[in-house]
Amino acid sequence: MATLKIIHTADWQLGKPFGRFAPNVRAALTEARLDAIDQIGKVAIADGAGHVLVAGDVFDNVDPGDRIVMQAMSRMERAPVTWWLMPGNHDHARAGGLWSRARARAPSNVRIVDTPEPVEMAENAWLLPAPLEHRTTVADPTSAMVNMITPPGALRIGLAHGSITEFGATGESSNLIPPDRARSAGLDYLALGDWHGFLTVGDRTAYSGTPEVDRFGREEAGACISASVRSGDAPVLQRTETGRYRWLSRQWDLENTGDLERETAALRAEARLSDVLLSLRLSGVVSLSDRVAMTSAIEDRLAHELRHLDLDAQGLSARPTPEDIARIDVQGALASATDSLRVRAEAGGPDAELAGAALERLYVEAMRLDAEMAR
Amino acid sequence: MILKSLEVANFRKFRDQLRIDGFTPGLNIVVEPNETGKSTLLEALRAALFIRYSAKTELVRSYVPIGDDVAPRVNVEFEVQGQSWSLEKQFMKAPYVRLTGAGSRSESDAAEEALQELLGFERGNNRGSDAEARGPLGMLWVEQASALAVEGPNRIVRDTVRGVLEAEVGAVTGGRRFDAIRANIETAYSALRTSKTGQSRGELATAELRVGAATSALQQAEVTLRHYEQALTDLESAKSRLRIVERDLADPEVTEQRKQLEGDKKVAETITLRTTAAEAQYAQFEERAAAAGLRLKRLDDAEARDLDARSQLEANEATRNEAKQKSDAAADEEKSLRGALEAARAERERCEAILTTARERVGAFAKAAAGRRAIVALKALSDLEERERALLSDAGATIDAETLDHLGQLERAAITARARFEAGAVKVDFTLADGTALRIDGKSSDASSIDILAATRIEIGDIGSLVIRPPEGSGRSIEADRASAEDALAAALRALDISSYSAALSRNERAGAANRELMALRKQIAAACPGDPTVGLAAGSDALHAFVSTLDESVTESVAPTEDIDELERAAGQAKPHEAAALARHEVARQSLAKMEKTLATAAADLAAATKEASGAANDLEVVLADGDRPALESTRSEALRERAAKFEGLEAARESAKAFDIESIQRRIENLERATVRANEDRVDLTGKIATLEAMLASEGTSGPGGQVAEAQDEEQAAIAAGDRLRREADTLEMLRKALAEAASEASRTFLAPVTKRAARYVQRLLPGCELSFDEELGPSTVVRAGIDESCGDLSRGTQEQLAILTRLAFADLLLEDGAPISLILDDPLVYSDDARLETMTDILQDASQRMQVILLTCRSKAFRHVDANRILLP
Repeated sequence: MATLKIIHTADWQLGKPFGRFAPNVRAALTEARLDAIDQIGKVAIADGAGHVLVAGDVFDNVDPGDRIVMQAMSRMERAPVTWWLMPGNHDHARAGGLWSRARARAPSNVRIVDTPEPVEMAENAWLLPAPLEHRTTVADPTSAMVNMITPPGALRIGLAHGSITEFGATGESSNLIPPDRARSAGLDYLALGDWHGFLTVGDRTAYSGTPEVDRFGREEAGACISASVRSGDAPVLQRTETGRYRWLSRQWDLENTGDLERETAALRAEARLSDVLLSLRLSGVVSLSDRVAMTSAIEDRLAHELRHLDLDAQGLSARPTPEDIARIDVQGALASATDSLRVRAEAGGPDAELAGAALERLYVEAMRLDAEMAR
Repeated sequence: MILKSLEVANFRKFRDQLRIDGFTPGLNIVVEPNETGKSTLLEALRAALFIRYSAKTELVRSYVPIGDDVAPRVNVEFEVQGQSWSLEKQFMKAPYVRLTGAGSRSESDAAEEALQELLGFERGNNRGSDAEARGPLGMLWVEQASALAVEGPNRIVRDTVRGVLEAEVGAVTGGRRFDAIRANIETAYSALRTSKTGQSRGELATAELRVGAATSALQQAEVTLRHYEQALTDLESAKSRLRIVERDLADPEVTEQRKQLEGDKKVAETITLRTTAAEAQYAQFEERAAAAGLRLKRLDDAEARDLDARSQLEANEATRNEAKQKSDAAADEEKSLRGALEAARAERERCEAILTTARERVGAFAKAAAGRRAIVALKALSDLEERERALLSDAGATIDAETLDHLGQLERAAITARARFEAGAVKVDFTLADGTALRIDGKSSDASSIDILAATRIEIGDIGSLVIRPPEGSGRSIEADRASAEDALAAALRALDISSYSAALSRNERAGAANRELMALRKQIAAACPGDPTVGLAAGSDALHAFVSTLDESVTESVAPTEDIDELERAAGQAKPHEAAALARHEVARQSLAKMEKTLATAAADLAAATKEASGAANDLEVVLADGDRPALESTRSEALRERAAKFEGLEAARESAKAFDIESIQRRIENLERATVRANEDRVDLTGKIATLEAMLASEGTSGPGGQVAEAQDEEQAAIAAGDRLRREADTLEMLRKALAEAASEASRTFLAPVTKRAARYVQRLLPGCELSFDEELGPSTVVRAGIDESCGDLSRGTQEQLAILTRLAFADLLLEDGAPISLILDDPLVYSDDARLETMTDILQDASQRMQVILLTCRSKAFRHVDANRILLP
């Protein structure tokens, strides 16, 4: 019974710009995507796998610069494995396009499968690729696998990029792959890309997910699949984490500073904060002083500990208490300005939110002044 | 504070000591004319209080009266809270200050400090420019010019007033805190937007620029990417076209088709060759048949021509003979008529010759006769001409009427002169014996008579002499007149060659007669020379003279002729028509002959031609017959026609088979195939080149990663927009906050200043009913609200400004008074710009105020304040 050990990965999305992040974060995220290649190489070596199958979306877009291509190629060249790269929807194959350049720059251990023809990847093991030639295709890209002829008894490993059709789905989404393709095409394993998380469909089909997460909405770290493909039998699949950065989304409903401390502690326990990109939404109604204290605790401490913080504090409403107001000033012009802003904030008109912000700013300024005077 | 007395000495214009006292606690009016120094009094009062005794500033030096070297001195007595005080101060020389009161006495600096303490002001700069330090009295002692300006009170007053206000309104805490926070907010705001116009600046402006730059960078990147993708699409289509072209080129069907066509072409070529051969054979026999036909035709033609030529020859010979006969007849006729013509012409010539001779002879005779007549006439003419010459001489002696008249006058003048002379002169007649010499006045004379007009000595021989003296009345002038008249007459007569006037008259009569005769004579001469046209002699004597001079002897010798001219002329006249008739007849005969000769010539030529044609035709026929006779030729032709029919059938068969293989259409199809191949090859080259170009372009464009650049540009645009939004929100927040702070500030100052406003309102209402005066944060009057409309104080009329200034001071004075400050209001020449009504209101207000504080008015307008009930002080 023939067995072939392979690493199944996809959706590297190299060259993703991360333009909205600060330059240092951006550089770190870009570097991490390249590091993932090294990481996959290490997993392959550790597993004794000689082949890495990349199921599409190696690059983030159809025309990345040479710099990206070269960086990727040089990383792959270092690992003593054969890399099988297939175009996905982000980097679909076009004559004279990206893949022509990539092929021209590829080292000998990198193979590009940009035509839907079976290729013998190892002795008695055939790779059946379904590269995408367009960003979206209505036709099922894997249908050709059914008619791909391989020597009898050889391993048939499908490689494709797209979504699995769900039962009852209308044909509107693109690059749709039927869930029983492995069976219908007589595949021993169908390695899929596009879905950024780990997912198995039946016992012979799986999505490896991206090796390094690139957006919020995916809590677990990036990973690849170590697969032992066996002739006739279902493959043995092992998910192995390769990602460095965690993209976490949180919504904290806060009533007081204690809540914030608790949530922060929980987050610290969950992951190393310097590797976390956090999308944080705050909600709740707190006193003005608490709100200022909370936002400053987040912005002045937590934000610096994290790799990156997206803070949405608009849901955290400040309800100024008499103490808050008094801390700005009990009487005189400051008190009357405070009062006018508070009234407008509570009236809920179109500028209520702005009035609330102005009030908070006034509070902050007053506290800052007091702190200065105390010195 | 109540001022009791003021004493000045050596102070500006007050060189002598001046003491003013009698000030009462209420309203005091100090009346004095202009320039007596009321303003100086106020200055002296200020000097005493606010200027240190030891100061040597320019202000202090100005206190010294001009040109003097003395020490200005001011003594003031006043009361503060019931205590009497006396202040003595001397400047410049031996300066001192002394404050006495409340049982104490201080001097020098201690006195100055005590004074400051007592009256609530601070040590100033001694130059008079330190209004801020002068406290309530500085404000309330209003000099002439500054009363006009509506301005805020000095610092000490402000602080005092603030103290009073805080006590009254409640603690106004946070003032400095408010200012600090507001300043911070303003700083933060102005980092993002300009505080006046709210335009973006600093980080916000940069962020907005970044959005613009990012958007245009994105557009640029998208354009680049579109171009790149277009190139990819072009490449793909070029490649697929190339595949089609290459497949077409390698199409086996095309090759097969071509092979088939080549075979067809060969078959067609063979068929064409065969057809051509059949056509040649057919043509050969056709040619042969035609030749036989031609030869037969030539025989027919030759025979016909021979026949024609011969009959023509006969006809022409007959014609020529006929013409010959006619011609000969005409020649004979012409010859006979020519003889007749010559005879007629000779006859006419003879007659004419005879006539001419006869005429010549008659003419010569006639001319000779005329000559003889002329000679006779000339002789008669000679007598007449002789007489004419004589008459002409007489007629030429005529004297003209003017000369004659003049001569008459001269003669009459001479006669008159003589008569006068003879009347006055002494006539002396001499009758001398011969040999006796006569001398008159010494000169010898032979005169027999002289007229003496002057004393004249006459000596006769040796006898002696006598002097004759004519009477005194006559004179020499008479003699001169006579002499000149006689000389003139003599000269005139001499010129005409006559002796006297009467001679002249008779000469004129003679000339007249000659003239008349001459006229008659000339008529005779004309009649004697009538002329003779037969010999060309014109009328007149000159022509006659000339004619006669040409005549010779023959004239006399001519004999009269005998011929009958008329007869001769008639004979000549008959000969002429005879000749004309003969000439006409001959002309007709000559023309007829010419015509006949022409006809003959034509006939002869025709005959010659016909003869030649007949011989040619005969020769021709002979030649044609040499090729064969008619039956031989006809059998040859029918043989050829038979052969031709056979060959035509063969040709038709060949053509029929050629139709099945049209070589041209086969060739065309082959060419089309070749052209398509050539074009496909060209397309292949073109497409290959295009593909190479596109691939090279894509390879170089792709290295920069156009897709990646678009993705980056999109991210950058989003980030820029987010950053801009964040800053804009910050700016909006700050804007709202600063507005809230500004509103709170103005609200606070309104509340804070309410007591001042209220006190001022008491007065303002009296002066300007319905108006409200408001104050700014520096306690300066800022606006007057009149009928709901804000009006800046600076915009009011000067009079109103002055009135408001005084009222404002009163309001502050009231506040200070309540605070227990020493108050005294001194107004120097106030209310100059006020009308009567306002002035009255103002004096009423001042009178009221004087119930609470001492008020001193310094004025030069005693009349203006006459109605005021006050303590009046007159300056000495």
